[in-house]
Amino acid sequence: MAMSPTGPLERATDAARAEQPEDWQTVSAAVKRRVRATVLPARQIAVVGADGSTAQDALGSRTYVSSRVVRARIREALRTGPDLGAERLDLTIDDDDLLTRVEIELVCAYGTDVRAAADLTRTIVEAVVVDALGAGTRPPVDITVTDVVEGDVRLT
Amino acid sequence: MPAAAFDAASDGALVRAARLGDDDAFGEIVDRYGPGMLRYARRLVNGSDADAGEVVQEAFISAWKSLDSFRGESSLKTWLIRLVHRRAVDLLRHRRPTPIDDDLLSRVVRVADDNPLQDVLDSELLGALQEALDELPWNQRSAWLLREVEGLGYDEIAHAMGTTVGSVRGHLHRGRRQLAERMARWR
Repeated sequence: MAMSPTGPLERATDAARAEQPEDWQTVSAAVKRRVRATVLPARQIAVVGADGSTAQDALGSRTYVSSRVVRARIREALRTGPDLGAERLDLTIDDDDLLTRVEIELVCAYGTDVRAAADLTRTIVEAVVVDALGAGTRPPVDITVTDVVEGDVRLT
Repeated sequence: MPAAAFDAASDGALVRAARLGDDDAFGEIVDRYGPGMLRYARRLVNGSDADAGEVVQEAFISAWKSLDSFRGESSLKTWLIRLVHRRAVDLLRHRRPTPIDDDLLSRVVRVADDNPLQDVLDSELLGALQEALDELPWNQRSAWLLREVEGLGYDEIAHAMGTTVGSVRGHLHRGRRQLAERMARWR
């Protein structure tokens, strides 16, 4: 049977432990607003047509997509199953604003064929990149399997 | 992944997703550890709601920007508490002079010698606790709060405060003694 605290410091400590900040919802909302408003570093990436040109019309107009958008799309595309998930994602963009390399650190569930998981990841990433940046964007996709976890990689 | 689905995610899974820019995953981290961080910040910054809110907001923004630097050497909770601690100490240092010499302050802390009502409400006790905490140097205050209220281990407290376990033991010993003396008047 638990002893109830008798001293004033012990009673005050128990009360402090049990305290739930009444203004937490307000602070939480403010934090989330600020997080969404915080612009993380990003670069523009040029869309490349199937012919390898960045010109979108006869005038040489170009279309750019933020690396933030590409990262988000790859992230979402890789979160569809329990067997694999990205841990880190690096995009290399050259001075001409072209995506030249994608590097991904991958976490797999125990029992997953890691080579097959890497191949699947590469296929998914290539599809996202082509969809977002045009058929002419075909960067190498380097995969490093850095960890294996028990259970669903989205939860553990 | 819907935000609600992150409820059951481990800290590691949340950090992985948030590192890749998923603000819903980060939102789950905020709600998982924020209340404790706010409670700690409030007690550390003299009970000020506005200061505590500011400290916690700044700590989370810093965490969002620097998730890549979280290597799992401590728990996520300890890492976040460390960010709160740094910002709270910065704020306290800029707002008013803070005693650095524990022994000097120990001589200032009054020993309770009166005997008020025995049956006091929790709110009154908490108010008295805050007054007593306010008279402690911040390192004693911090060590006591992290150990007694937030339940961190000595090594976690040392990591959060950027000091050694030996120092934490010393801060705790002095802090407990001073608080017991200050709170004894409520007996």
